[in-house]
Amino acid sequence: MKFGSKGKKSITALVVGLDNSGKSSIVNQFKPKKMMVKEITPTVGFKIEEFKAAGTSWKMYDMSGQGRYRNLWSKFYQEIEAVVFVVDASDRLRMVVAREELKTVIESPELSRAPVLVLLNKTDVAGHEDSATVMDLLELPQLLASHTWTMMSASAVKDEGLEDALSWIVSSVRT
Amino acid sequence: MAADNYFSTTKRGELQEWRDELNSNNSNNTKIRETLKKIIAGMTVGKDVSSLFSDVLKTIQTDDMERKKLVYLYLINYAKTNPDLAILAVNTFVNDATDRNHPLLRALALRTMSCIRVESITEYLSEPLRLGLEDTDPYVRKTAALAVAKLFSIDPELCRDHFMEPLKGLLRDSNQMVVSNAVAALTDITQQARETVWAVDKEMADTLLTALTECNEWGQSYILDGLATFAPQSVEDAEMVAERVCSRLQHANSAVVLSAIRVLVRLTRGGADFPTMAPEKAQEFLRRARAPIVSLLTSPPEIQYVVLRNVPLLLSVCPDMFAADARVFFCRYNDPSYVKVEKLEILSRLASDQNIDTILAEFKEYSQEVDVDFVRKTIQTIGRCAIALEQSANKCMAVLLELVATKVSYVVQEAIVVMKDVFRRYPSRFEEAIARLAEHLDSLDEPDAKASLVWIVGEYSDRIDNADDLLDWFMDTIAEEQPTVQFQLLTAVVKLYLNRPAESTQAMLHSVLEYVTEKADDPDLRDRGFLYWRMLSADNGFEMARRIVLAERPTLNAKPHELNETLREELLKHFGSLASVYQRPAASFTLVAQPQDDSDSDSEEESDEESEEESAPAQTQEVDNLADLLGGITTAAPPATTAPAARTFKDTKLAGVVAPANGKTLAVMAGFGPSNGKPALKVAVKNMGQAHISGFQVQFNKNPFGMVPESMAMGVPGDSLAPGAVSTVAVPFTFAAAPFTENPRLQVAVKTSEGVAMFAIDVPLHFIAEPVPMDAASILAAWQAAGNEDRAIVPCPKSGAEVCSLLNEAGIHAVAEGDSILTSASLPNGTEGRVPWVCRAMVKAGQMAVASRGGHTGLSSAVTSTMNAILG
Repeated sequence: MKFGSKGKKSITALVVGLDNSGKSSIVNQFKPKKMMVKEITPTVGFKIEEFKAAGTSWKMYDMSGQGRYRNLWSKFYQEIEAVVFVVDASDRLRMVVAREELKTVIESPELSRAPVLVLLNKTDVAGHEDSATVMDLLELPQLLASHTWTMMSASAVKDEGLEDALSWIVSSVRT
Repeated sequence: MAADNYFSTTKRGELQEWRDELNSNNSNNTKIRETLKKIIAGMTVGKDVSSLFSDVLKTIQTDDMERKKLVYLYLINYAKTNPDLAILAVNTFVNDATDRNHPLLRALALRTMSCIRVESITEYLSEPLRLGLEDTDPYVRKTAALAVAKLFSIDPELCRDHFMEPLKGLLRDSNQMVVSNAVAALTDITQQARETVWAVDKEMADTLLTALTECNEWGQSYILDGLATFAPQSVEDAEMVAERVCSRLQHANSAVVLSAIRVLVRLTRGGADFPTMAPEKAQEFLRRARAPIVSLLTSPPEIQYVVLRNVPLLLSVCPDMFAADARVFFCRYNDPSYVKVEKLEILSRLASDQNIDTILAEFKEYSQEVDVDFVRKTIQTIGRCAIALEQSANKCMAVLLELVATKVSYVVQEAIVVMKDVFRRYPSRFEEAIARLAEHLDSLDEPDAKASLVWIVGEYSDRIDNADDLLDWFMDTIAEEQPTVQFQLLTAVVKLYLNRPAESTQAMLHSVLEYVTEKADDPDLRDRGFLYWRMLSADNGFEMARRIVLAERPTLNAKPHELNETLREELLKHFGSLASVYQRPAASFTLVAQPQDDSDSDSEEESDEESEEESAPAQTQEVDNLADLLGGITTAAPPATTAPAARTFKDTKLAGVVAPANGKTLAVMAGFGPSNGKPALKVAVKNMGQAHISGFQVQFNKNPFGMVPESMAMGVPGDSLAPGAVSTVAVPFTFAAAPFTENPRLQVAVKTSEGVAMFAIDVPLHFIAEPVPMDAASILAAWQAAGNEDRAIVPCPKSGAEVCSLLNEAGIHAVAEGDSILTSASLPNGTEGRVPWVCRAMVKAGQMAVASRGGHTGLSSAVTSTMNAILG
């Protein structure tokens, strides 16, 4: 890992995760203030968001998390430099599903070199799981053994912990 | 692992290059746009660029309108082949369709969404479409109106429930462009639904007429199409609308003019649902179309052709319309031949005793032309005039004789063919002309001309002095002639002999009879020879033959060939459309379910009874077998009463199952119905292409019922389907011990000369079920003992008792028990003979819930279609 190396000028990232985990909200918060939208509706298909933040220009594929669209994620793996996997910290029931989906994503050869950021969203909700539990539930260390990865807590609603997320991606994408 | 390498190509083709350009992170907007243009160009020339679908899709998000249009164009083209991936675009569509700032973008997104006929996309169309119909921008409203019509073709129910009323509301829109497109959409929906979804009343007609004056020519023709369905309540209304439509006749656009004429034709002729105008008034309105049509005849030839094809129709409702205008239909030297031929046709209709001199002079000019086909048609037209106009026949004949005198081979021959018909029309009027024809004997080389001349000589053999010499001359070469000439020669010689019985003619008769009966190859010719021979050699044969062969003949029908009445009425309704140009009913251009022939089904019912009675003993045995299968819990009635009442198999609705695609032109609809009293698969095949289709064969895939077609041959008449033809055939089936499979949908393959078409269809179970009479308690017991439950819910407006009797009529034993219905029947099973099939059904709130159990699995969709068919 090359910490502190100067990041690339532009990064293409894939934002995936189960439905209702808050992908679109997260991406919305990544964006500069004036580009933000007020209302987020469930994404059908996908959205592309292009913006500048953390000194880099970003192109993010915000994929729909609904079950029937998940098989379409793979159509976008080409050219992807970083993966953001959003997990709903308050949804303990479906952690297993999330693990399986994450496994499918990172096992694809196109993404073998991409750093993976697991973003624990909705940490503002009362009764959410803490990061250690989630890491266990998702079996992250085993799953992501061959990837550059990290896990961060965030809250899209409160706009917490998102700056760090972007800087981590910038620093881990290999130039 | 290594095997992967063989399939990953290192060749860098165009597609790969484009893909890289689209995906490259360095591409700017201009570059991507250029690449998209290249891809679209490839698409238009027929290159398969569908593999770039997801790459193109990734570029969809942009503010650049031009780039957006390119991507949308691509999506429309390939969404059908990539329905799963197309969903990915939905988010963008919905966003764009609700974009606040750009009406063009909203309209573009709406149009694209409605053009992509993928069901999963249309489910997201509703909301943007609803907003679009109320949009502040007229262009968006107009686009939304057309989108409703497109949605109707995909989901009629959704459309009827939510969009018909808003769409009709647009008819009163302040913007005429919106009004005209709403009319176009409603007209389109009417055609698709084959029922009236909107009616034009007087008020609506007023609104439309107001919009009519303001909109562009496209809009005008849409609105006029809509007005053509107006049914006025009174003659005054009709006259008012006609008067205002007349102003459109001055329009420069031919489509507008023809549509306006169509409205006039409809209003003046009246109909079943509205009054007819006074004849003078009607003729006055129709005559106003004269000047516009005359001026359309100066437009380019293609438009002239369309107009000319419609003129005969107009003449049929207003015969004296162009009485003084024959001149405008004269051919110009540089007219294309298809225009000339139509003009000839019209001239022959316009010809009258007053103008025949001018027209004949014109025809004489045409006969000097170099285009042989046109000259022949001209000569035929002169003949038609001679036949139609009794008083002017002499003049026409004079012209024909003049043409014969030119000694130009094809002119002479065609003139002789034509004259034969003139002789038949006026049997003894032009005898002196016959001698003139005989001079051209040597120059004839076409069979038709020869046959005509021989017929003339034979027919008038009593008045032509040298008829025997002439026929003798033909006899020399009889062996080399075409059958038509040989036939005529045989008959002519017989006539000659009967008219002038003499030694020489008898000798000739002998030689011709000898030739045709012994040497000729054509069996029909031999038979006719034998017929004459027998007749002449019978007792009193000569007199009898005279009576028969020389009998008075009916004169030729004076009328030139007219369209039949029903077709003419149909075409008048579609005046100015493709139907009237092709002179074929509009329905023949589209695939329509053929209405059932009532007389046909009557006879089927009769034979039904017979065959059922025959099969009764076998039935009893099956019931016994079934009783065993059900473990003895049965109160099987004595054999005498198990003979079922006569069953009538009602036809199920034919549904389209195969549409022409990928170069194939066969369209198939399928359903079930009776054939000779036995159940059969009914298949309607339609040839939507240009070439004949033949070699029809049919086969079923393995199915749990063991159904197999009785014969592989489909029984399409002549085993050939002409372009545009429809044929409905029954495919009777039997049950064989075919290996068992799970899927109860019947998979059918139709093989033709253009390949194999496959489809699957639910078998209406009552067609293959046999009733098993039991009382309610036994059925219930059997139901509880049986497994494999399938459930179905169908709409049912009937009461439980009615359903019960309908089921029994359809051949499923049913009894009412409390508020539920119990049925018991047996279904064939390829490997085991028959298996039980019992159902419990309950009717409630307009719906019937059915739980079916028995030896078969996965029946829920079959049960649904069965119940739908039985409940009608």
